[in-house]
Amino acid sequence: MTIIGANYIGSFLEEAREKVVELKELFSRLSGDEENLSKTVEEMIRSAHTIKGTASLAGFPKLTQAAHWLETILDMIRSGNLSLDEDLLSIIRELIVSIDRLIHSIEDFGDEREVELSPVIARATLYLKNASRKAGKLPPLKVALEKRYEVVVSFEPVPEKIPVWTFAVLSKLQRLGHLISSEPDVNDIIEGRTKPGERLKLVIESPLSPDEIKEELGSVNGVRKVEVLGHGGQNERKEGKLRLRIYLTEETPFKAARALLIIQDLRKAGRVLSVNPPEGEIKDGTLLGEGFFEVLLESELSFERVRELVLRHPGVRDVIKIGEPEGESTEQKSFSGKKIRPLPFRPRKRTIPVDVSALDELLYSLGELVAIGEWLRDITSGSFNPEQIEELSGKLLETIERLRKTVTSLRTVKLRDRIAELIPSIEKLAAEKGKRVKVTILGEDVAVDRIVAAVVWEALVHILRNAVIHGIEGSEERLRIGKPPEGLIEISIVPHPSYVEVSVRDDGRGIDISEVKKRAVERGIITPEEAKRLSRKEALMLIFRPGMSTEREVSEESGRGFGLSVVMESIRELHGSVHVSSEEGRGTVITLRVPTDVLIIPVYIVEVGGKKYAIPSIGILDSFKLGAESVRKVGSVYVAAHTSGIFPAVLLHDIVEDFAPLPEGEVEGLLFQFDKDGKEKVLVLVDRILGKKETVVRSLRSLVPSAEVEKGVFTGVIIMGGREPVPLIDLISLMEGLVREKH
Amino acid sequence: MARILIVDDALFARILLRKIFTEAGHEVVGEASTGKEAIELYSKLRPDVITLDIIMPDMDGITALQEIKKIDPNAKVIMITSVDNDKKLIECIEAGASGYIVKPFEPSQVLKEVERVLSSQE
Repeated sequence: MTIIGANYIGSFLEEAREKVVELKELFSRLSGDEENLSKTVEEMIRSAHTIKGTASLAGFPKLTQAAHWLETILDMIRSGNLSLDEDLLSIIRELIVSIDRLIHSIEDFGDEREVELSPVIARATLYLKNASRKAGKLPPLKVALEKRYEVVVSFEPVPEKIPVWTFAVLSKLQRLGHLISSEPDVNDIIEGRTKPGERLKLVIESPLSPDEIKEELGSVNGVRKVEVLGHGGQNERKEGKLRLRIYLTEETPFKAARALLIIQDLRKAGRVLSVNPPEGEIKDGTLLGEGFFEVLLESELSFERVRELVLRHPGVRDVIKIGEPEGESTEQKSFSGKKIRPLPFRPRKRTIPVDVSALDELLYSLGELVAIGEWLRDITSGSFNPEQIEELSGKLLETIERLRKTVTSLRTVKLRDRIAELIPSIEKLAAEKGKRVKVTILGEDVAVDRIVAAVVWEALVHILRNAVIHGIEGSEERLRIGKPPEGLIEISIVPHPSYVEVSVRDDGRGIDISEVKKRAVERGIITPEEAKRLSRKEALMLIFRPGMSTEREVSEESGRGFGLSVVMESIRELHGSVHVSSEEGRGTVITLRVPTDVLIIPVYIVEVGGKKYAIPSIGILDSFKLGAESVRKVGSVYVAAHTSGIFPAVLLHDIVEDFAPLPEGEVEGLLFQFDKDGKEKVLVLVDRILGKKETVVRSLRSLVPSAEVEKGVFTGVIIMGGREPVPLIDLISLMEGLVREKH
Repeated sequence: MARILIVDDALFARILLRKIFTEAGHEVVGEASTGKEAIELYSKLRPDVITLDIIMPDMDGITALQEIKKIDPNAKVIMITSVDNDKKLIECIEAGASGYIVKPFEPSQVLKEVERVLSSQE
């Protein structure tokens, strides 16, 4: 009979005996010592539980059952559902005595034959029955929520197992509510006095919904089917059915948890007949539409009262009553309408996958900052000592550094990975065009800001498509002109300390400069005269102007001629630059230079005419002082002589101060490398260089209408020390502007 | 007003909650930074409400919750949680937590939840 070996019976018995001694000892403290009652009950529950567990493992059903009854009754005392009286004390004593005798029986005979358990269990059942009848003294809400159900449980057709299963159902019921009556008598089944049938009819009182009872009992081993019928209890007639729709605010954190708490509250107010979406789905985070769920509630309370209850929850936007569910006969039926599906389309916010631990980090840092703020307020409002301030500022700096690191890590991605995503679609495009192209990525990987990666990615889409569609020739043509049949596109990534260069080199036909000029003139982008004067380099840059598609027809792949101009614009916004070189018949190289970090960029803070300006340090090779006399105007341009060389110069005064006179005495210059080969340099002259710093830049576009910014040299602002914004000068635009003016 | 026990291992969280509660006229009867302390203080102080961090160094918030519920099945426990603990929070609610508040704290929401839990039956 036992499922554990004889060797273990000894240790099982030893433990059981020990627990019985404990139980007897604790029992003597049960009456009288009101103060420690809950502690005593608690310890008894633990002992009973241990006995139950080991007995069931060792295969002693009577002992298991006795311990279970003891545990259950004690648990009800603990939870306040039963109060100790003489009768109950005597039942508890009788259970402990039964347990003790069972252990002796097992010791002496190896089985439980000596002990009859049914009398005490019958007593206990009767007691519980009466207690639940007298439940009027329990909190009124509790009574209101208990509903009477008739439950029919069908078992699998294995007669010898049905007593065990019945027992399991009974155990479960003790957690769900009260058993009022059963047919046949459950105790008779368990004790083996009644031949078990496959169906068990129970009347129970429970706060749970029919669905929950079904679910709970259905989970018991051996249970094949559970039917739950309303018992037609007298107070059900008075209750009305309410169909509620509960809206949560968008920003409510943990909507699932909030919805569950609300449903729990509604259960106290009445009977929750159904929930839409079902509770299981709500738990997984599903809500309907823009964030609501529906509850069919049967309650004595008015809608207004229920609404008030629900609105006590934070995060509830509104509660409305939707059409009375008339004609709905049983609670089993769900909502009359079809399940409302979540809206098929919602405009998506830009999202990024984020390591959850980083979010924790952020929250932690945020918490620290808030607390530091509170501390600071306390300190400033009362007396303080320097040490406190020092500690506080140390803490503050530490937290800021932590925040900075976390945010930076959140924002960076591997550029190479991002670029590699493009290759399959480019190869596919080439195949569609009947071309053979091999795309390779060279160079080191580098982590860049997400925005930078996104812009580079976007730019490469256009550049690579252009290369495939316009650059690379068809295989036959390539063979004819002596090139290998497969075109080559090489993407290289070259990291520098503060920026990264990404170049795309193809070995295609190159850019036909005369064609570009012709097109630019045709489309009114430049005049014929300008076309004649443009240098090769300047002409090549025309491909980045809006409206410069080289394709006659607008095709799907190459876009509408905005492609490269968009590239230019987005790179520019990052304070990056684009360069192009091309040799007819040999191929094209387009190089993007972008900062690795876009939020915080290093800038020079300079002073011109008493005002401050910021200049991104990207592309600036050097800075030095020089006498104003070494700056000369030669024709229409300035030239500055310095020990390191003679440079074309730009007076920032001219740009920002409406051609203010040349300053006297000393000026300072920033040597700016204008193209990537380092051949074109220009010296930007200012009154004074105040310093170099890393700073957060805000795009001017977000502050003023873009048309105003379009032609300007001010592309953003930086905020220094919380004071007035300092305009950021985009040297690249500035140079371009000057180049345009020259012509 | 209510007697509240605050349990959170982060000092700053405790400072902040204490401020929120005391300014609203509640009494903070104790503070604990570990689950063990929380359980001890709960049985000693019997507060009206306990705010319990869902993650603590020595034990899971849910374990502490269950222990407290054993001491007092009617204990009103409000879990303190942050963004990624969705599953755990639901477990806690199923284990009998009466409510939850979210870091970073929004004082009005914190107070609303505490007052809701205080006014609820059982």
